[in-house]
Amino acid sequence: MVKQNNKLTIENLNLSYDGKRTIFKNVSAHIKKGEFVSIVGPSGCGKSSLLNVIAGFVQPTSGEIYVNQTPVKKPGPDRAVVFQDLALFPWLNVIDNVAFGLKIQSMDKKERIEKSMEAIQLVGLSGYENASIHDLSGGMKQRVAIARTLVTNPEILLMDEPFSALDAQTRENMQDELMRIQEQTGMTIILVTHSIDEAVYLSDRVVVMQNGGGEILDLIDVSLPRPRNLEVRLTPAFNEYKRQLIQHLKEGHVHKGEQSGSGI
Amino acid sequence: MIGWKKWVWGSLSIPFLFLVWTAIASRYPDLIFPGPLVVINEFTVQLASAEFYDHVGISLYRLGIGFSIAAVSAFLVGTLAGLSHPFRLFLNPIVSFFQATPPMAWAPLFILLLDLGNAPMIAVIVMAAFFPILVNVIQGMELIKQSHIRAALSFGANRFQLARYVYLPEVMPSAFSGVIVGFGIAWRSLVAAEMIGGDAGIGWLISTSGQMANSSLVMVGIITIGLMALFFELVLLQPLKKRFASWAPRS
Repeated sequence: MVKQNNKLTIENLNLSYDGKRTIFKNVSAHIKKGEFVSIVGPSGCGKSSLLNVIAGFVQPTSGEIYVNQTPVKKPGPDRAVVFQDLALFPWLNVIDNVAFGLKIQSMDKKERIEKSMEAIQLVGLSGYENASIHDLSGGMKQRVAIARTLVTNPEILLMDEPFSALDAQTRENMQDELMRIQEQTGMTIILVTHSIDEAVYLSDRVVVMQNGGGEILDLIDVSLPRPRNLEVRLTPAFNEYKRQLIQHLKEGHVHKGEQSGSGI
Repeated sequence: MIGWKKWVWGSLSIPFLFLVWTAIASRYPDLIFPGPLVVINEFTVQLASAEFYDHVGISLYRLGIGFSIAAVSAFLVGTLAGLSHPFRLFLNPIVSFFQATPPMAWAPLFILLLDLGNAPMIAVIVMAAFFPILVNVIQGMELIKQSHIRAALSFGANRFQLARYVYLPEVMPSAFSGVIVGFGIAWRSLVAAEMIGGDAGIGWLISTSGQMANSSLVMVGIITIGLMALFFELVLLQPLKKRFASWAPRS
């Protein structure tokens, strides 16, 4: 059912190629405004495909997706995407990359620059407006990619393993940055990751997907208090969530018998 | 290497060429193989003659028209080929065949078909420049990242915006490599075509001067060809490439 207070509703989503190879099946989800949901699972479990279907890049075999109770079929600015390879445009400098979405919306130049400056400031890149993408470090490119999605005020931010190419230190910094940005913007975020640690640290809910069948195995509410910081990682509660998730991923087959479909 | 050292080494090549030239020319009479001084003298005479500029002008005119036709049509066909895989497969054998044939070899046929004058020369240039540009545009289209297209789509880009803001800038570095290669081939082919079937132009000037045993005018023609190619490369093509393609990692 499409509930009134849902930001994103997914109903019985199925994806298979050639009618044979099932990527995922019977995925349903109700995600509320401002929620941070992570999708974890082994490589090839269909988590990135699920994100591509939600973004509208790939058409599902069956099922519906609603944003604010309105069905969506195509990509659109209501669902911004941070890509695994970031997909920054190397022929544009930082501010033109950030302003790209506004240019597409034909916003006039003065307003475009104003909004882009705000977003650049929000991600902590002030002073780098005119830098070339080639000259930025991995973490800074990451910030540009996030700023580019923020300027258009999307309803939902979809992130496909955005931090996987970063070193451990930068990765932790970016996780904190992402939480801070979400706090300031109140955005709904769906993050695909294979890091259990990252999922627990950032999320309100973690969805576990299984290999092969592409069903949702389980979901875990992470009720660690916010704001979270590095200290949280050292608490017994944090480790208990991690332990639970690892166990779910390991014992995926236990749940396989339930064919009734899966919901978030 | 530091800037000025590079410059010194580069500029040493000019006196070196003159030295070798003088050494060889000293073994022959001026009428057969003239030395630098005789040729420079002839050059100043030619620079004062209207006829010389007519020949340069007509070659440039042919190059301008032919190269524009080739570049625009190769860009259009290349873009279509980049968008349609079946069309690309269809083009493959055609491109391989025409790339393997020297553009000059078509000149006699074009002269028969189009008569003497500008038309067959322009046709040779189109033949010479079209395929290198086409191949590079197709390659550039294949290098466009899917994530760039998806990013633009997720911002709500329409087909026109996708073409203007993603395809065009992303294909530029490859297209420019094609333009530079195509230009070199076109320029050389033009001169060669003018030599065998022209009625005017620098190539024609060289071949008729040769027939009249005017070696110094032959040399003037050769030097003019080289200097003009250098001029286009440095003044036109490289700055344009820098403007539109400098972001590419391999440029």
